[in-house]
Parts: sequence; C-alpha cells; structure tokens
Amino acid sequence: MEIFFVLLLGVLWGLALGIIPTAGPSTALLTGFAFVPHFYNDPYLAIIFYTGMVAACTTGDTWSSILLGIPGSSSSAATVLDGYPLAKQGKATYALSAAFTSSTLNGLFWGSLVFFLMPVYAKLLLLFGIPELLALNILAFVCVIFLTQNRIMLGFVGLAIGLVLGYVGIDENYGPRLTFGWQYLEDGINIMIMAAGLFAMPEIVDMVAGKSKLQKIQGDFKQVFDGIKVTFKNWYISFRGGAIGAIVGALPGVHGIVADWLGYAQAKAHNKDEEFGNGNIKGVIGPEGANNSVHASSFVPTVVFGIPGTPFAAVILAIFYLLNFNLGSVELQSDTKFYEFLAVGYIGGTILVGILCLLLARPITYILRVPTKLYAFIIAALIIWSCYQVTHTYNDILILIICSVIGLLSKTLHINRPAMLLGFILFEKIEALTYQTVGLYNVSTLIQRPIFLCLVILIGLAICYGIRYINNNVKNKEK
Amino acid sequence: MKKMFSMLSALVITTSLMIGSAMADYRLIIPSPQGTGTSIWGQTVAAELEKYLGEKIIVEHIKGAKGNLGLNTFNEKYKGDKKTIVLAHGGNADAWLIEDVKWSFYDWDPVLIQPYNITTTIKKDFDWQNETLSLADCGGCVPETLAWAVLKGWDNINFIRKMSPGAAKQAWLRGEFNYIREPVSRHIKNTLPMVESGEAVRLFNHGLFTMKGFKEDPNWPDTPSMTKLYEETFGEKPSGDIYDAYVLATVWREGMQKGLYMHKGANTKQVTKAFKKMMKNKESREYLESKLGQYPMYFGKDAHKVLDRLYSYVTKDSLKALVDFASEKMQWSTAVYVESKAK
Repeated sequence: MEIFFVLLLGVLWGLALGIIPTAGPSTALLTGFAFVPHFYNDPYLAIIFYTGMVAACTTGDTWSSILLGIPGSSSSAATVLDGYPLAKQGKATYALSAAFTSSTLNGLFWGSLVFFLMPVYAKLLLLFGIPELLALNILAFVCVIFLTQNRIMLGFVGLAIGLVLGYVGIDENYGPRLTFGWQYLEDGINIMIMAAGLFAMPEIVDMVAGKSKLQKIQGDFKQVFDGIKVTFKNWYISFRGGAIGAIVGALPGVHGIVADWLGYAQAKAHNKDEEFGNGNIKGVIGPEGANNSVHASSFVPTVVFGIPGTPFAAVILAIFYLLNFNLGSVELQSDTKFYEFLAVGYIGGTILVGILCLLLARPITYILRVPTKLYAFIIAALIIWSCYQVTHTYNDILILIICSVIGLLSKTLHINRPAMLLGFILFEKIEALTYQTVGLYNVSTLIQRPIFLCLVILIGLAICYGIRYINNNVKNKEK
Repeated sequence: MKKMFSMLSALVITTSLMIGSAMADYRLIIPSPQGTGTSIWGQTVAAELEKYLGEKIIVEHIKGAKGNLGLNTFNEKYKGDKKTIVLAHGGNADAWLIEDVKWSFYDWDPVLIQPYNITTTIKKDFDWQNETLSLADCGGCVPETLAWAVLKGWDNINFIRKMSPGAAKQAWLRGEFNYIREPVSRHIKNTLPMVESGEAVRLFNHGLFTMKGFKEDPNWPDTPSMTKLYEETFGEKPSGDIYDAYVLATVWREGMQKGLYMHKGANTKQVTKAFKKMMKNKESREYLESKLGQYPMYFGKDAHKVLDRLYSYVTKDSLKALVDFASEKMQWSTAVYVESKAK
C-alpha cells in the first residue's frame, strides 16, 4: 500500500510537471529534489517515487504539445507538428488518445525489456575493465558531439566549457583548481545546480515568454477508441518509433531529443505519399512511440555505467547518489531490490499515468488554462529551494544564477548544452580513468583487449558518420 | 515592469520563507557527501540521539576538500555556537596530521569517539612478497599505502593515482587488482564468501585501538595485524621511518574513525548525558550496533582519554616521517609539516 501511495505521488508530481509546457522530466526531478531527505529511512521508496515521476512526465508532456502547440519537453517537440493541427481540427481527443496509447505501449514493452533485464545488463560492468570504461566515456563524448546536432564546433565548445566547469574543485593531492580563493568552489559545482541552470532555468524563461492558444478538448469517447484503434492499426510505426527511441536512449551520451525526431522521420519516410504537418495521426504515433522508450532505455547507461544518456538521467544520477545508490558501481549489482523497485517505479508509473490520462482528460485541461507564467514562478521557487538544499548557504543560489546565465547564453548561441553537461559530469571520471589506464596498461596489453578495440572502432565510426551526415545536410541545403 | 518586480519580490519572499523554516535547534555538520558511510553513520546516530536529547538535530552536509570545508565551516561560522556538533572521521584525522588545515582537534571537546578497523584481502594466487603490487591512491588509504610500503618496499609498488575505493573494488572484482581493503561490515557482505570458497585470503588488518594501544582484533582471530604479519614473515619487528609513519597514520585513522565534537563551552554535558541514556537503553544500543557494527563507543570523559592517548602518538619524528612519505612517495603537494602539532 505504501509503495502504491508513493508511486501515485510520484506519478501525480511527474504528470503535473509534464503537462506544464516546456517543463520536462529534468525539471520535475529538480523540483522534487527537496523530498530526498524524506526517503533516507527507506531509500528504495525513493526509487519508485522518482522513476514513477519520470515515467509520468514522459507521457504527460504530450498534453501541451497537442493542445497548446508547445512541446511539453524537448523530447516531445516532434509531436507538435501533427498533433497541434489535429487539435485545431477538433480532433484533440483522437490525437491524445493515439499518443497515449503509442507512448504507453512502447513504455511498457521497452520499459519491461530494460528494467526486468537490468540485472543482466549490470553484469556487463564486470566485462568492462578500466580501458574499456575510458573508451566508453570517450564514446559518449563523441556521440553527444557528432550525433546530436549539426554544429560540431558548437558541440566542442559545449564540451570544453563542461570540462572546464568539471575541473573546478579540489584535487585531493594537489589542492584547489580554478576556485579563485572561493572556498565553496573547493567542493566543485553541484550536478543538481548545474543541471538546473543549464536546462530548467532556460525552460522557465521560455514559459514566461511563451504565448499560445489552448485548443479545447472536443469529441466523445468515440475519439478515444478511434485513437486507440488507429495506433493498433499502425502498430509498426509505433513499434519502429519505440525501437529507435530504445536504441538512441541506450547510447551513452546521446541526448534524447533526437529520438522523437527520428521517430517522426521514420513515420514520414514510410508513408511518402501522405501529407505530414497538417494533422496526420501517424506523425503523432511515431514520435510518441520513441518519446517513452528513449527515457526507459536511457536508464541502461546511467545505471550500469554511471554515464547519463539524457539531462534527466544526470539528475537521477545525483539523486540516487544521495540515497546511497551509486549508479555505475559494482555494489548495485547484487542489490536485486534496487532493480525490482526501478522496474515497479517505471512500469507501474507508465500504467498508472496512462490510466489517469485517459480518465482525467477534461480536468487535466484546466491545468493548461492557467497562465504558464504562474507555473514559471512556482517552478522557479521550487528549483531555487531545491538548489539551496545542497549546502544550505546562499552560495548555492549564486552558483545557480551563474549556471543559469551560462545556460541561457548557450541556448541563445546554440552551444551544445547536453555536451556541456556531459563534459561536466564525466570530467572527473575521465581524468581518473586516464591515470588508471596509463598506470596499469601499455599499448601491447591494450591491443589484446577485444572490447576495448571494438569501442575504439565504434568511436571512429561515430565520428565518420557524424561528419558524413553533416556534409550531406550542408549539400542538401546548398541545393 | 511593475508586474515583473512584484513577481520577483514574491519569488524572493517565498524562497526566503522556505529557507527560514529550516532553522532549528541542534545542528550536526557532516563533512562528507550524503550517502557515504560517514553520512549514514551521522544520520543514524542523530536520529536516535534526538529521542534522548529532547530536541531536533538538523543534519547539514558540507562536503569537499577532503572534509576540510565542513570542518572549517564548523570552526569559523559556528564558532562559539553551543548547539552545533561536527562529525569528523578517520580521513579527517589523517588530513589534520598531513596538511596545514585551518582547524584543529585541540580546539574542540570530543563528545563521542568510535574506533574501527579495516582489513586487507588478497587473491589466493597473488604472491604478495615477490610480485609487484598495483596500489590505489584513494584519499583515505594512507595507512594501507604505508602498510604495503613496510611489507614490500616502495619500489615494488605500482602506485595508481586517482583511484577511489569504489574504483579499486571494481578493479579487484574484474581481476585488475590483487588486493582489496574494506571495513569489516563491507568485508562480511562482499568478500567473505570469496575467502570461504578459497578464492581469496585475508592477509592483514590494522588491529583494534584500545585505551592501552593497539591489540589484535578479536573480530578476526585468524587474521594478523600488519605488525604481526611482518614479524611472522620476516622474523623481526618492523621499524624505521615508514613504520613510524604507519603507526601514527593508523592509530589516528582507526582510533578516531568516527568522532563527534563540539566547541569548548558548548552544551557538551547535555549531549553526553543523552548519549549515556541512549546507550543504557538496550533497544537503542542493539539498533545502533546492528547499523554501525559492534565497535566500542567512547563518550564523555572516556572520549577525552582516547583523544589524549592519540595525541601521545604525535611525536616530531613520526609526524615528519608521515608528512615526508605523503609528500615524496604519494605526491601530495598539500602535505606540510607543522611542528606545533607534535607533543
């Protein structure tokens, strides 16, 4: 009963934040950070609360994409293209129903594959030695630069800034690094504050600036059934979208936003004779399939290797660390309860939110009627409060302001923020793994390690693919 | 503009109110991140102690700089505060010996001290006397580094920089490392099955600190202390600068593995009284032992005696040997010999 109650709370929190335009899972987790101390007595309940929150947020962000034409989060942007026109045509219920069905089914299918098999994936960690872990971290850097956006230089800039920010702190044996005499910085910049500044605060600015017209929910239960029916009829589009999302999410360091666009692109590519962008339901089913599975599968690199695939995963990493679940460590391998609760949180959250969305369609629209500026105010207050929990000093707020400025500038200048966050998080790991690899191995021992060699080849392929893809895009634009 | 200003004001007022509501009675500063062994220890003790203290204890984590950030905050920001307690662990004790920190145990009153012990296990096939040992440079591993330096000589050690205990453990499980160091509770949970199946051998521990000095740990009757292992292996007692440094680093880290301190003139008596009541209660005592291990807890006058005993180990020669080792062998650029610390 306690588990269900905590799950319900997590789902309601995630759903509420997911419904609010532009506030995605990262924002939901950041606003829910202040609850962490309440779970110290039973940290396993926290797993259910926070994973349920992510699952609910993932489904909930469809509301504003379809009814307001504003992405509920960065990973549901593609749904807007056909979902909003459908709503304008009076088919909002139809679009929402199809979206929830596609999202929930893929969430259940890929979520089950991810979470019930997580203990098996976790065994991978012991196959990966120190050089393999170093190569995997470098692969994450390469992926985030070359596979997530067209501007490679801006990817490098983002990564470089992230690495410099990750360097801030204290080297245990060599003393302070880039702290400028500010003692607070000796502990480094906190991940929560960094993620809040880079992602959540720019989202809040968007909320304040955003203008939109809410489409009414029209239609009866027939539209609900039609939406479910059309998703089952086009199950392959939904499933392919889900498969794409699952692959993208499982790649370490690849930001989830590409998944829904790829899900949309595959729906379009396989229906070349149909018009998209003016209310084609397939343009909703494809990306919504990817939207949920990408979040589910991004738990794999995060839990097994401690490499967050998405910004929300970085926040999960930080929250779980505080609860003594050190993601990417061998201690977790034998903790079967951890994996069970992770599965219950995500799968249970997906089912619960699917039911809530279908049953509470009309009341939920009231949330969207409230001006987003008001939400911006509440969310900003919660995030500031959450960040203050880090050291309980006003230094936390000051760092949040600095990170927010960096986030806003990066967003304006199109600097790759996921690369920045990943560089920041992985700096310490990469530095340590480099020292360890150099200390324990040499070239002749490294070339005898097949997994290491495979990863090096993958790094090369990812670079080549990224360069080729971008060159093709440039040529297409010139044409 | 007016609207913007009023929203901003409301934001400031709301968050200030939320922040203000966190102010409370007693405060426990933990200079380690949440989730670590020290943090769990502190939160467990604080939650139980509250019941006997009759007042709330707010736990505040101020991590960073090997714990120096939290200890500095206690020393400076809460100087003279009668209700602030700080938790220092064995790693802080070694940092105090090796570095020129801004705080000192001399300035505080100990409320409670709990000694501990760490055991070192090796792979069964590892010939520790003749093969090169890859040794992790983790922050709190100074006594282990010195122990191995005494047993093998520094030239036979491949010292791997920037390797946390967690990373070393992974390397051990993957076969990249031939040894692992663990507190007793973790050893029982993780490595004992390997020892029982014959895959690994417990080689040494550091012994158990008592008022009369170190003795063989009764929890591990089949495992010698490092000193005893040396005697059994080489037929003579260990000696020299590195051994002196080992004794000093070990006695401080293990002797005060977990300690609670308050400023002089603070409500120490009230807290000690609450501790006495807590430890007299069978239920509370058994609960704490189940969570923290069955190691003695010294509080009140006994904690003072433990601290005095630890100070007696800090001689100019042993301190110099420890700082020189940290600086020259472990490459700690932060290592500084401060003569005034020695008796």
